Amino acid sequence: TKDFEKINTDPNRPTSVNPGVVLGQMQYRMVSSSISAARGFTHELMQVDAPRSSTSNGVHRYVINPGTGVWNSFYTLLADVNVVISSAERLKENNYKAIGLIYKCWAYSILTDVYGDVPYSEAMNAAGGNVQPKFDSQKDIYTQILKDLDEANNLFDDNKVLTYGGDNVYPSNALTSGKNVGIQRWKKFGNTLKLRLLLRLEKRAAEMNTAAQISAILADPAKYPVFSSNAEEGIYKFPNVYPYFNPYYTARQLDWRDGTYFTKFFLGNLNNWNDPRRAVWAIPVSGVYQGIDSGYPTTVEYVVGKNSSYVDALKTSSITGVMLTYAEEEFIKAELALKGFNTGKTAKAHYEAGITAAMAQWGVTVPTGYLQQAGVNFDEDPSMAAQLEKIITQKYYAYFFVDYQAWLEKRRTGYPVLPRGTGIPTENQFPNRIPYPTYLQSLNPVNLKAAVTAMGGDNSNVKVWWDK
Amino acid sequence: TRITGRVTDTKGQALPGVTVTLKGTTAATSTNVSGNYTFNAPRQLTKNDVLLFNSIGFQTREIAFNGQKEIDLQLTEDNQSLSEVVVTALGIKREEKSLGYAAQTIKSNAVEDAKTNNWVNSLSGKVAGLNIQGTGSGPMGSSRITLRGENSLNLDNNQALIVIDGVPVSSKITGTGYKAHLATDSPVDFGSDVSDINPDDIASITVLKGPGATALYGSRAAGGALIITTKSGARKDGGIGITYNLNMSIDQVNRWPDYQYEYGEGRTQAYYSYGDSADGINTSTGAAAGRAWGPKFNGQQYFQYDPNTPNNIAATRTPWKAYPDYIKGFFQTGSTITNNLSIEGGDDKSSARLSVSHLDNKWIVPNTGYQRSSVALSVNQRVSTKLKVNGKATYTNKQSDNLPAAGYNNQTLMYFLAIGTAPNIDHNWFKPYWQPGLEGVQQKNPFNPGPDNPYIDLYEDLNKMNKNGFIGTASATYEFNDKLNVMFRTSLDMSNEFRSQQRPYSITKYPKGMYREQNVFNFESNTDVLLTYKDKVTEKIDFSFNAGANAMKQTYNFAGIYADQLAQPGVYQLSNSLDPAVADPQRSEKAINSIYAATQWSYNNAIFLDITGRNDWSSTLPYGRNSFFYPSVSTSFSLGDMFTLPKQISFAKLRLSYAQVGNDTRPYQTTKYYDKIYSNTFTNSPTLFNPNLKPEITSSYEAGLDMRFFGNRLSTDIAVYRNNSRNQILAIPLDPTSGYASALVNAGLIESNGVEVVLRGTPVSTPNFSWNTTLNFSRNRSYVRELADGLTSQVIYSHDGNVTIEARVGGRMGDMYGRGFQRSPDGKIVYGSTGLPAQLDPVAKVWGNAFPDWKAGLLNEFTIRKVRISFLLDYQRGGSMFSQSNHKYNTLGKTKVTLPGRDGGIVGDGVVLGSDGVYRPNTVNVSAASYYDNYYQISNAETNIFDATYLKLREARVEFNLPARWLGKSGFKSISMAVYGRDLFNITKFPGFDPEGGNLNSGTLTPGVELMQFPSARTMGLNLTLKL
Repeated sequence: TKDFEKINTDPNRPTSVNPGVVLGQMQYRMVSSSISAARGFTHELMQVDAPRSSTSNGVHRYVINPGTGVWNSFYTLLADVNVVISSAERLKENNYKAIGLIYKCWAYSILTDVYGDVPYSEAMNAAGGNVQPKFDSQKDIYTQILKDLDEANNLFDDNKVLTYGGDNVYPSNALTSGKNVGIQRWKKFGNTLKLRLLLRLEKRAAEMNTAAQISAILADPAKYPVFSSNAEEGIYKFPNVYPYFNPYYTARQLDWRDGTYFTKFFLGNLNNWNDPRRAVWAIPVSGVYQGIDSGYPTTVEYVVGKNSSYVDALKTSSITGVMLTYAEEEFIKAELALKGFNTGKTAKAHYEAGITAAMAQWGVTVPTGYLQQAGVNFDEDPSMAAQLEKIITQKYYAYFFVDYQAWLEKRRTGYPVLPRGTGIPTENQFPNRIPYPTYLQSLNPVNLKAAVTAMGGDNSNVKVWWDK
Repeated sequence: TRITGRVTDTKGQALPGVTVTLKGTTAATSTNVSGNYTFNAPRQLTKNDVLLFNSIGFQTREIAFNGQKEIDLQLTEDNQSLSEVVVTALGIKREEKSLGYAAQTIKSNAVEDAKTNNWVNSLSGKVAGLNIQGTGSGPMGSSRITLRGENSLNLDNNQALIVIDGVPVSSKITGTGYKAHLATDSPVDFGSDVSDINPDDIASITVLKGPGATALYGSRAAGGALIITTKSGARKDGGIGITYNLNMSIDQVNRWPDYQYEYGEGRTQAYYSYGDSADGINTSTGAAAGRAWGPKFNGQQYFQYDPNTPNNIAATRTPWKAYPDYIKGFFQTGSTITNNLSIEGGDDKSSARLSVSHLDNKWIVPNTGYQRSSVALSVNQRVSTKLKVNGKATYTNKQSDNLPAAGYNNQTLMYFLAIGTAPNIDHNWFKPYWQPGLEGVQQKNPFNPGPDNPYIDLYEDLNKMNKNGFIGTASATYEFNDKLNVMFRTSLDMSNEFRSQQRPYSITKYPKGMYREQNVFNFESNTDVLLTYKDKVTEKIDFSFNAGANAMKQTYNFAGIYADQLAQPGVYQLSNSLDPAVADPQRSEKAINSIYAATQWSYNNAIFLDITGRNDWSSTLPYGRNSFFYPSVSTSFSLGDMFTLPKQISFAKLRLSYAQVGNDTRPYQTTKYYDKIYSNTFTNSPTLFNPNLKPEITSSYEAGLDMRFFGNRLSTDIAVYRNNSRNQILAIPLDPTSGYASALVNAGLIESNGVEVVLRGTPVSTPNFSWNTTLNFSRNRSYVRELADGLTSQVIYSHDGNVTIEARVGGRMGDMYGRGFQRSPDGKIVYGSTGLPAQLDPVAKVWGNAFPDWKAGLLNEFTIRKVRISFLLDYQRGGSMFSQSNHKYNTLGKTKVTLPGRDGGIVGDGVVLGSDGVYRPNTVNVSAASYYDNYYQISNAETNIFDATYLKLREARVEFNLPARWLGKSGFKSISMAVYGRDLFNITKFPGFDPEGGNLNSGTLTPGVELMQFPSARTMGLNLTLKL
């Protein structure tokens, strides 16, 4: 039995890894999960689309099943994020560590925005013996995320390549003219993400000291660079070679478009504005873009092929892996400018730059007169509420395929104003969160109970901390 | 002539039921309870006449007639039958009388007479306590063999060990890595090494049911063992025997779900239109296809699919009618032809047997089937008076040009049949499966775009295999003297299998086609040395002692290479991969070293005591703590040799045993590894390793009683047992926030209790007519007593959350949990205000159990002169099955249960909860389509789990042996012909094809849930055996 130790050593799997062999697949699976959440949940809830046939319940009738969403996939992938960070620390590779921190911040911000209090400080420690981590308050999580983003910002070194490669998002595996352009973009990603999150904490601005942090970013672009063009934005571009296919690459027609239509609300605005993104996203029926109601009565069923659904080209598109865009940043700045921050430009300029970037992102250009027409024209109603509605409404369109952001912004601002379907039972409220997965009742009961008590319940009507 | 007399045994006890026959005639009588008989001869007897006295368990005597009026005689016990030799663990041969545990021996005809594609399945109903669970997943007919229930929460650990001539044979099914429900590709049943064994080479099978019998096998046989002995040269006269056997059989589907042929495709009954037409917009080709909620077949006319126009749009209306073959037309009559030739010969020093066999199977699904060829050689040689050597080797080649993919998934025929077609669609319309001008590039999918064209599934989505297997053993026994011998044996089970899967362009899951290859190499070697010493202490006390050692090594090498997009359509080569082909290597090794010892003592050939001990060192357990000891002790009391028993009792034996066996785990569970994901990247392993794993331990208590009555005309063997399995190696689920999805722990206690009864009788025994009957009965209950700390439930299998097989503390192994209707306090179904059942009760409840309550097999054999007739009834009581077929067929309106309410709608029988808290009867009428769609929804376990009770006519056979005088001087020693049938009927209330199913998920057979099983088939065959 002397050689038993050798026999029981796996010849197929390594016992240690460098960050380069983990990073790329993690990025791919993260974005696959986040855009699936967009298509499978946010689009239906936010009336981008609606099922063709829905005989009971449904997200579009504001019925939110516990555990829906990214809990499983994000936490599973956060284990890989941890491997990236810890192996980078072991190998003293700060750029990997910083990228890992950015993913950690991005993923946890989505988790806490969607569910509320979640395991954070004690998470990812089963190997250390803790299989039932406590839930941290959203405030504590946000506090640490903002710190981590600062740490990442300081760690990035754009003179150094990613030694072990593996970055599938930005060109940081090689230097361009002596500089690592990819690392520069990651740095911008981190600061842009920080702006998104600081704005989200609007109602907690005082206790979280967000105004000063926002001003610091706006005032010092050298220290806190943010996106300045579409080329820099955070999109995982699917190469569509094995294994990195668009996750819908082989979706069946049945699942991709025969079961779902765009809504009257979503296409209505695009039709009114004669928006060129329509043709990129939707199939015309007899030459027109036509949507259906959302939240319709259970007796209604729409027949196949008679309304506009997703174009097939999006299944194999390389650009649907959207995480954080330049357009979003301009819309953030538009809102900041509107609310009195010094962004260097007017709210209108940012708003229009946002629209331009949002169109460019999908390969179309702003048609002549688009920005001046009713419904888009920023100056049509100079009230702050009307201008904010315009910004958020355009932002909503810019959030096509972006995880839960359109819903999160709706919760924060109330925009866009969505029509309420006649089939939605009167007692159903527009959801403020997704309830926790039911399996936590057996796998982490004590900590779950404490979190539910702290949050004031576990249903979808409960508001998270930043929303109160 | 009249003769009277009395027949007794050697002790002078009267023997009832002895048959007295005039040789060469049918004239016979038998003795009464006092052993007396009166024989009235049909004619005057002469000195040439002979009287035969026979009784089971005694040697037959022939008495020449010598003018006597009275013949009294004694019959001597036939020790051969009372002290049958049984092959026990490690191939040690023992007298049955001395065994302290249950062992049931089956003769070769049990697997030869009524052949099936996997010989294992022909054991069903023939052994008490043996449970065989099929999967309905293809011609290989893989099945799961368990003895005495489920002791481990890891279902793969519960399978019985199969040992052939001392060689443990792998029953491992190497899967393709796919699950059976909605994966990118589907599992294929490639069979196992066990299913490759040629049943014609099997001489006998001893079933060792519990740990008491298998403790000497250590950590591998916690689930019992099937010890197979193959045929070796039997002739001792120096002559040569040649046996030729031809077997031809056909297979036909024996049972269909209750399909309806009254309503056609559509979502409503308003009208039907294939494409937009003058009658209205298209009601067919979208996702409506496959739904049969459309108009009734009333002789009306609609615009329907036209096979003769370019776009299949009809110019005129045609009669609206059902095609009764719309599902059945996709199946064919299967056939199997087997040829076997064996030559054997020998003298007192040596013997040899060579057999060759070829099997050609065409299955019930077109373009599927396989061929198997095997050559087996067995040689025995007594080299000197002290040295014996023997060797056995079997080579098997199995190959298939296409095996069907199974499960509920694109690329399976059964998936298409569920959701892709409807009664108004002719199955022939799918036959042109390419779009004209786009052959090989774009499939034609004229109805539901979801599933692929079924003929693409059958003729283009090919799953090929070619496997070469070798099982061999060589042994030498040296007898130092009468008392001491040593045996050395080394054996190999190895196979190399090449597989490929190809998919053409335009397949839903592989738009650019796919081609994959796998090389699967399986190797196991065992080397044993066994020392045996036998002696007497006194005249009355015998003992023997065995000591031995075993070294086992397993190597598994799976090399997969995948081209998941093809550069050119139709070229199925790795070099044609559009992207760099991806490698999927999986290698593993495992070794176990063991030493063991056993001692047997007997007193006065009446009381027997066995003690065994085995120590295993397993490579899969933590180094330094991988040594484990398994003891057993068993006793047997032959009561007839200790006390005077009533004369009706010819034999009685009481046995008791206690044993412990262990079970280790898969390799590589004790250290942290990173898992490969995709081609060259890694991910954190989702299962937390455990550096402190211990082996599972099963403790078993068994008591048994073997009694034979009336000169062995009636016998019964009863066994009761209790097995406790502790320290189970479980992957317990974790919340992923911990960084892992599961953790490996030692935990749990499963307790199994059971009883097995074998009842044998010979109601009639005369030279010209005899009737033997055997009843096998078994009942097992496995309870979950403990799980890991803090866990109250362990999910063993989940069908995407719709139904789970869960072990819950206090529950039974195999309990099936799922959701059901909300019920009012008085038990009525709660409806919502819309007339449909309210949301399902969120609390999952038990709706059934995957394992049967009890099983019974009844075998009857009649011999009427040269004709042998036998039939086997197989009954299972209880057990449950979740039926995906039922869910799908019913929600899509394909079955007769969905007919009520089609024309006027349905007011569901139940109550509605008013806002005042009062339940009132539901009064809202809803369409049949939405009612049944809701009622049979997949997440409703209550309406999709069914009782799996069945009664099957498992086997029926008539064999005719040509009388010797017909053979004359032809040179043939014997010629027999037989017709047989298998699974001729299947009586059950289960609504799918077969309640005996399960499903195949990659390489694991899971009971209790069928996921679009293939139909079960009735086999009818002809068998011809010639002996020279």
